[in-house]
Amino acid sequence: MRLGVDGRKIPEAAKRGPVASLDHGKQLGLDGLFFRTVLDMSPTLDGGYLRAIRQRADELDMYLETGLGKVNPYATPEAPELRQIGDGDIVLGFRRMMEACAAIDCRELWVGTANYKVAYVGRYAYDRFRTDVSWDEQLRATESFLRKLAPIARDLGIHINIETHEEITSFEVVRLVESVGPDVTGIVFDTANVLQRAEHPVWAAKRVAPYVRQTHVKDALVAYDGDILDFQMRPCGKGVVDFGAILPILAAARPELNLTIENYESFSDRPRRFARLVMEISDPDWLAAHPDLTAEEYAAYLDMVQRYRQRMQAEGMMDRPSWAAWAEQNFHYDEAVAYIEQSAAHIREVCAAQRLPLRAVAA
Amino acid sequence: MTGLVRGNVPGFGHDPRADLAATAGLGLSGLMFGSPFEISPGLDRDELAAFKADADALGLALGCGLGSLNVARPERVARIVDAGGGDLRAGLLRLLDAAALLGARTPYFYVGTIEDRLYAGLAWADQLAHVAAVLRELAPALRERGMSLLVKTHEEITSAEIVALIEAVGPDVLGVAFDPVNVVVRGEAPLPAARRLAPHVRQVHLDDCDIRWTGRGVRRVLCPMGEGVVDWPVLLASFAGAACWIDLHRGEFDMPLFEPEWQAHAPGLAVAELGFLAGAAARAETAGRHAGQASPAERLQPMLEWTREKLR
Repeated sequence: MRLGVDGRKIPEAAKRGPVASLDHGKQLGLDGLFFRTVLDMSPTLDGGYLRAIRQRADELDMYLETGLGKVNPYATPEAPELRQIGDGDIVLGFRRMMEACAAIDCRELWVGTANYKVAYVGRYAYDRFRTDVSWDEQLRATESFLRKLAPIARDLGIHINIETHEEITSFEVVRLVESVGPDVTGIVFDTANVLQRAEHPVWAAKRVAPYVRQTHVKDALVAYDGDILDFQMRPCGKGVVDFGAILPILAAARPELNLTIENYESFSDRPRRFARLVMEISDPDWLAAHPDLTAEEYAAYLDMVQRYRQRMQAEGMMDRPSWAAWAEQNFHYDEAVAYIEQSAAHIREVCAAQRLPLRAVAA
Repeated sequence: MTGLVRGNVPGFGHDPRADLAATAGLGLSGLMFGSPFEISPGLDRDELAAFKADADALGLALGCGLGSLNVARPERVARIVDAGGGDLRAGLLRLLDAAALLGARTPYFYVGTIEDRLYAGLAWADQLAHVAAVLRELAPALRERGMSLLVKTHEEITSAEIVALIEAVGPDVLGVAFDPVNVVVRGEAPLPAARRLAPHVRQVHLDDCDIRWTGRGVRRVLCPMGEGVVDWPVLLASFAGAACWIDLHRGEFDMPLFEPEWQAHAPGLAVAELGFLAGAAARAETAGRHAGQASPAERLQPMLEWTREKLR
């Protein structure tokens, strides 16, 4: 395994561009960058530029991972670039992106099922709860679209890896992979997103492990406010995610897996209001929208939240509103770097303690 | 009809007639005894009839229980067996006749205790099968007498198990005494449990509770009526016509629902119902409600006010 960082969220990613961001990642002691989509690297799929990125990654002995885009036909209109790159034909657009990726030997490719809607707090931030089209219909449309991409992936030796994104459960991602075929699909396991679907990260890791081919390694605070739960990103080791339990599961399933830290984004890079994420964890309708969730996992999740509450008190951690107020004012370049370094240190510590095959920091 | 279980009568003591007078003094219309033995240890017909006459004179209806009917734990039914001269069925028939003399034609029982569910000597499902067998045998006698028994939602039994028991015995002779603060002890929420049991509910036990976090799950904390998690307006609307008995509980039960061992004894747990309990615990925590439960005596006055306001 190697430890890297998110190519879109590493501080100053847009300012520096992909090549210099690779150098930046190296300076931070990391072994790779995971650019969310190939269009992030080159919006025009410029083959020369993409080769230059690959060359720099190779020179620095870093992994280079990337992806495609949203594969839910109900969500793709929110990403018009996917259709534009196919001159109006979105399947052709995906083919061109996949060919461009294969040309630089990127064959594990991220995809997602929807966009998180930061404008809303609560269930409508998640397309799972769309009122115009049911989540089941979206999943069916997604599967159908993935089946259109499957032959292209097969030809190019590509895995289309579906992220455990905020709106989808790990149960559903596994079913998509098993239905479309694990020869052409896989999973990008985001260790914290599953929390937003009332899934215990360790339980989710066990479900997805056989198919995980890329990762977003991240951690989060999950804490009650009344009877809803708040979710807020935290450096790895400072939230509820038990990496000591998860990493051995992932390493056993795929020892060559790359671990990509997804950091909280600097407010200088992306000025914004602090977005509040909540889980309506006690609401019967919200829970009914998670039909795969078992009482045992739900109880384990509640246990995890209670233990974290005790830990927050014991360690005097900042609560959600305090951290939000602090971050909005103070979370810039230095803080984002510290966040990545703290996360990396925790992951390295866990791997060392358990003798997991994580490549050591290059000298 | 709103009555009071005897244990909640202020100054409850050894004289059942004094408890009758005290209950009438509270403006209530019934008094519930745990068993006819409390009125007449020998189940003497004249003694029971005289007591009924005294209750009638005060305008009070009498209710009664039969205690535990967990025949798989012989110690729970020893007194009934004694009353039958060594024969359980004979003892049960004497108790039924005693209850009828009191005008209590739907006596209620509880299956056992929370320890019975975990009893290593015999699996809980097997204990329930024994109870069902005894009740099935008793069914013809109940039909002859035009009586039925009510099984109480008690801390050891789930609402689904009660439904199965009723289906095994017959809904004409077995109904439900619904005690919603008890269903939470099995990880159930009162309204869904009520929906499962609704066709069979003949009697309702009035009390309220709140939920608190513990290190390993949640705890039931009894609280003044109307301040807890039981949605009584909805329940009462769905059980219009059922007899209501004020039954202020004492037990402060822990439900260690994070423990796999506890889950193993709780088949059929529903996510939404655990969510109900967790939500209540979380709201109590946020609101800073940390206190333990008030005693039954402290909760009687608010309960009486609540019944005067809501049940008239």
